[in-house]
Amino acid sequence: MIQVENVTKNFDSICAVNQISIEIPDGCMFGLLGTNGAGKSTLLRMMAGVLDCSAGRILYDGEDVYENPVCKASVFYLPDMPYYFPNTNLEEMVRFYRRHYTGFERENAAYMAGLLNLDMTLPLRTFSKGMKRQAFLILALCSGTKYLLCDEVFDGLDPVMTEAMKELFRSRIKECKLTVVAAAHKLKDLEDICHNIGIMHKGGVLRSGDMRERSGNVVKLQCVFGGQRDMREELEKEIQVLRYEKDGYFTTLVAKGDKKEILERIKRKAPVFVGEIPVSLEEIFMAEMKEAGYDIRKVFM
Amino acid sequence: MISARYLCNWIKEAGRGHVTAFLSWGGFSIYTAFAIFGLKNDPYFTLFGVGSASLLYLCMGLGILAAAAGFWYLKQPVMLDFYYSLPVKKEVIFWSRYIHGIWHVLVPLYISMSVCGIYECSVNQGFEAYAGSYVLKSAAMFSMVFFIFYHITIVSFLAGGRIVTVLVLFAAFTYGGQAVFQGIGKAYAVYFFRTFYRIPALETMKEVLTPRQLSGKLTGAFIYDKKEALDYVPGKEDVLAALLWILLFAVLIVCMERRRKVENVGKLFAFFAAERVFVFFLSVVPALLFGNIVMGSGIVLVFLFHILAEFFIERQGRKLFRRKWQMAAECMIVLLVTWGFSAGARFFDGFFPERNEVDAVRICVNGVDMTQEEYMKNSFGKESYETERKLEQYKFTEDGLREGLLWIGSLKKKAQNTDKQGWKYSFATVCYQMKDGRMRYRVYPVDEEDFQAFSMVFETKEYKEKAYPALLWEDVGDNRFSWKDGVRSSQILKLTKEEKEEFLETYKKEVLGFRMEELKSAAPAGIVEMNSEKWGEKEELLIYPFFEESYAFLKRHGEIKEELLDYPVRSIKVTENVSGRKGKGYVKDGHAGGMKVEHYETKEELSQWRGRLIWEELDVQPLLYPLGYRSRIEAEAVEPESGAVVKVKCCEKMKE
Repeated sequence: MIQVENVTKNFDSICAVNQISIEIPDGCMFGLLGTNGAGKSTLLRMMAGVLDCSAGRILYDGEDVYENPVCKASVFYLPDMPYYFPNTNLEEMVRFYRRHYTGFERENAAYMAGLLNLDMTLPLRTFSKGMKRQAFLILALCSGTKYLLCDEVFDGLDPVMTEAMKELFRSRIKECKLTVVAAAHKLKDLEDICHNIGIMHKGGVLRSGDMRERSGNVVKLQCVFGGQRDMREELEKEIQVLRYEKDGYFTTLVAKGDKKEILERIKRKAPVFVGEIPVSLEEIFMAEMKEAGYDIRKVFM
Repeated sequence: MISARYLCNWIKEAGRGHVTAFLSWGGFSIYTAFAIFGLKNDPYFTLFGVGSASLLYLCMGLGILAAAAGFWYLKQPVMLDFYYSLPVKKEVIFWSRYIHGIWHVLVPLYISMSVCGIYECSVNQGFEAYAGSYVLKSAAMFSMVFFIFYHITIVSFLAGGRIVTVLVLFAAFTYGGQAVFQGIGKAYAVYFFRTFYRIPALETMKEVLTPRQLSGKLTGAFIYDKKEALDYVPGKEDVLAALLWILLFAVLIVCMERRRKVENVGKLFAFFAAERVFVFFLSVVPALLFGNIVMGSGIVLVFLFHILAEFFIERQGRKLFRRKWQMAAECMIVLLVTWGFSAGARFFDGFFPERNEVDAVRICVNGVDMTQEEYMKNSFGKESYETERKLEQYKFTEDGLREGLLWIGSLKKKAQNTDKQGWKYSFATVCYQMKDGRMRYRVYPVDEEDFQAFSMVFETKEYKEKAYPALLWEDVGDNRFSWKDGVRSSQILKLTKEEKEEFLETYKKEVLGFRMEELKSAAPAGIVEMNSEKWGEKEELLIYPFFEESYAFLKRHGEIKEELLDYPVRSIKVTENVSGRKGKGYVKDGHAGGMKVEHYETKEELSQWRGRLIWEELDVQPLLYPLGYRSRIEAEAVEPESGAVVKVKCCEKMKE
């Protein structure tokens, strides 16, 4: 388990990470979401033992990670711009990492590279941005460590490759009980793979936890009211409306509360049609954030 | 648990780029090849170790390059993320690279020294006796040079957050000592101390605090003579200074390595303290340096340089005055330094040792017993080779010391009240050799009256022995005596052993007996060269016309001419620079490109030069018997024995 306890990081007068406390259980993928400068990378660098905390501590299975090679042996950190030796190739990087991570799965790396059509003998500098990302994700997934920290995890990958990678992550998490902490600034990258998501803003975590679990009291409905009436004001008086959009005859509504009660109250307005549609993670976030008193648009826009 | 965590594995890892190994092994291979080639062709002049300037530069360069290659990662956030996230301690990464750099420079250095040593033994038998000590000495001294520059570069990389600051820090460490002790110390001493010539302590500080100069002294880079290089042992103070450099910077490396924070990469300085020190030096040193040009402006300059330094770091107007107390301290230091020199001037200029405090005094009076060339090269307060040579020659410990101190005492009193005009006639550079071994140099103005008073020193036996070293020669019966006066360059004087001894005795008596005043009456008529067959030494005896007995002796035993025109002279060429061109044409008639050339060839023309020409080499008293140099005079005379035409460079007598 990863325990981030009251961690603060100051860069002179700037507080990059402020009093963050998170607990990440084993075998799950934790997403760190936030805008540029929110403190995601700083938190990850601290979690990787690159930076020391100004206050607080980061524990892996109860052990502080900073300057602790024993603890670091169970953590693999993949930064947003990974370093590779000049003129080196994937094979050489595998050899290098094998010397540092005893559990590194060489055969698996070769298998995955083959799966993704990556030539392990070609210098990494000749790879495109996306190919480099694939190569490093392979190295990360095959490191054999218990914990994996990835910054801007799927950055540079095309949608097909992103899906393929997500699949690889899912299978590794399932097979090896891998715990992944992945940072991204796009919700899309994380919403269908992360079990838990933490939203960072100005150095602090606004919200964290299993968002799907919390989605139980958020409902998304599509309605058609007679006479193309704008029902916004009326509905807002009776139910907690998180989002209201009207497009022609169709009104899309995201509301928070008991599903049955919301449906009942809408039916009282005599709609021509009302139907439930799946709620996205973003909408769950909106609900969570609005409840916490934050305007989500200020966080993500 | 993980093998790569061990230092030795990481040392291998540090060499991944092979840059240091390539540069070092490649550099030493080339050096060894060139050294062997040199030894093969000229084993008696080729120096492969101590005395080799190229090896010095190679070791200095490798110190810098090995550190730069090894610790480049400290400047790269991407590399730091990579290395510091691996399961290894930061210190293992750092120290493995440190050892890797040392290994790949010192091993090839030692191999190169050994190979060259063995090779030289095979081609130069005389070297065998020195081989062990020379090779060991060379290996030790050049290792120290490497360590000095290796450590300086590492500290620069640790303290600087960006490459620009790394370069600035390196330059500051390398040339800071020179800037402080020469640019400030010497410049202020010259400005404030009227009697300043040299302060050896300042020079020593400058040398030991300037790594390049210290390295040169350690490795004898200034030595050209092979024998000297083989025997060379650097001074204890230089070795101590080098060890201090190495150890001090090693301590800094240890402290900085532990405290350096990754997040400071990208800032100008990785340490707050380094930033402060930088601002301090960038304010105080240039303020004092430039303050020396316009004295008294240092206080304004320190303020400006402080703001400039802060702007360099922060680039934010509101933060320029954030270190007010430091700025105040800097102003205070500039004031204190300026005031210190100003206040110290009284002590410095007023210094005069008691007789019992000095072991010896060295005196060089500009214009006495020196050639025209030496006289022209000496300028007041400026250190020159000629002055140093004279100070080395005229060292007095007996009667010369007693009379010398008396004479200097009178100069010192006048010096405090003399204006600039007082320095025009001449000056005396003096070195008091104190009983504690220190050398204290002063320069005093000498006016005509003081110059006359110098005769009290001039006429001592000790002075005469220094100025006329022939006084110390004995048993000259086997020596070769020859006469030269410009036309005759080496006319052998056919003297018996007894005559030679007799001549020298006569000469000694006359030298000891003549008075300084007499030098105003005539220039030397010629030179007797005395060559020792036994020792290979030679001595030149100036023969003045007023050395009546010696001169008469020479005339009896050789065909000595009284003056140049006593020889058959074919022509005299007088070349004069023409500065003004007032004629219509660019070059006037009778002029060639700003030069006026006149030839005197007829008997009548030549006769007007009678008694006026003196061979240039006989001009040895520029003040007592000044000769004219307004034009270049060259006489073509016929050497009587061979009939050869000799061109004699002459100067003109100013008086009869």
